Amino acid sequence: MVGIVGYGVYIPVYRIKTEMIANMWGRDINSVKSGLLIDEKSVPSADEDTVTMGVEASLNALRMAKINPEQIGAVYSGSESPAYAVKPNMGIISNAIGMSRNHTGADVEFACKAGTAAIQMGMGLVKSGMVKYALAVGADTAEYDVENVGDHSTGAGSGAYILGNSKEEIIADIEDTVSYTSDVPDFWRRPRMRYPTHAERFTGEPAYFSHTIEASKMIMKKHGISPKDIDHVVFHTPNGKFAVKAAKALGFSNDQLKSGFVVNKIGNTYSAATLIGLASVLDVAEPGQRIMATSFGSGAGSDSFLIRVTEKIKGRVRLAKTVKEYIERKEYIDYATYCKFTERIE
Amino acid sequence: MNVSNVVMGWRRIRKGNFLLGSKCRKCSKLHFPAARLCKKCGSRELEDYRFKGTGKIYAYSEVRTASSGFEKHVPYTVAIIELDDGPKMTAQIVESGKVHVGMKVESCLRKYYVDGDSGIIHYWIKFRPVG
Repeated sequence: MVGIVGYGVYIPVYRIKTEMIANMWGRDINSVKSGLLIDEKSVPSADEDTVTMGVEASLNALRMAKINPEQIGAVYSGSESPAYAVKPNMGIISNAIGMSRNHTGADVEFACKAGTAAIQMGMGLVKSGMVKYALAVGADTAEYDVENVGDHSTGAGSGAYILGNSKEEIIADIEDTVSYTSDVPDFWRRPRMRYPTHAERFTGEPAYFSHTIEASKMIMKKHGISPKDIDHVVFHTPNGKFAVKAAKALGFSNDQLKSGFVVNKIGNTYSAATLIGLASVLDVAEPGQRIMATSFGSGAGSDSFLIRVTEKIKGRVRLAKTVKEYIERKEYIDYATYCKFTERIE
Repeated sequence: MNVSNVVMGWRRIRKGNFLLGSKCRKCSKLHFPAARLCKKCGSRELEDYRFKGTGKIYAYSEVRTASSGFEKHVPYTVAIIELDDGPKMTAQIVESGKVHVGMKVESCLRKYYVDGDSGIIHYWIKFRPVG
């Protein structure tokens, strides 16, 4: 048995409205909003990065798990915007949250699915008995070039999951995980390039939809279940429209999707997106409910998880700030401040 | 890149990343930063003490003309924080346009100083309003 013993998220306080960016670049507000289903996105302040956000989410996960950080034996940190190109986020995070030095770990990169890849790596170590607990972090301060329409969706945030194998501690049992991976040139960033590039015609069908749908089908088929057997579903959200379309294609209703659908309020948080969506579901889920969460990372791959909420979740959610509380805690900024915070002004 | 920044930054990690001070084994007085000699009883028997990271604002000042490297944070507030554990420390206040004496705050880890394009990123404790 391997499952979640604590989870936490962090979303920066600053927001910029979609209108603000659309007006700046002379775009039609309604077509941008209906095309992306994003009303506003989170923005990191000038002193925040994937390390500071990873620490915040990890501390929240520790508050919920109620374990001594010195018992964590592995940390995997997923991001495509790490603080350094060479020097791991995970070492700074593990030190800052008070872990002992007796632990392993690494930084992980797989576009937007590095966070779920980190969970899978932690699951393996916990399940094999190599470590008692593993910490998996997904954090990103995503960005496109300012004039790129993709800059409407790039948000900032983090999620952290502490994995363990004790039935007495597991608040959500990870029943299974499967992955679906292929070589698709839909989105990439070469070394020394600041901003990513995407091949528009590949972004949808051969990349996001193909991998998300196939991974989801694989895990449902493996367990002989269909959408009616699942209470909540979470998909990666490069924007809102893609997740809605994937849910519909698989036969899920808007009701099954809504609890984990937060992209409209914070944008695409890349490696953190599926982790924050899943946390948003766990914040409201009842014991016994089943969740399917499927991430997507360009390049391309999807990790799908089947999760069953346990009785142990009762009373735990209030130990740390919820996704809803982070979403509601916000301060709007103008476009100039946005550029200053995200270092578009040299 | 300033190499001395790397050395100083490494020495400060424990103190700055998780508010590590010291506690006198004889009279229990808490010190931040960590002391080698107790300010109250003079004992040299001190042990590490990790502060809770909560407190209230004792005094503050708003900075509008920043030193080099801090321009992007302007305007920002620097305050003396009276920690709930006792000692006072100076730190930047984030996420708050309206600061007042007595305001309850909690610690958070933030980037403090970035040493150019090739140097070390220094992280340090800052404080934000509770809630």
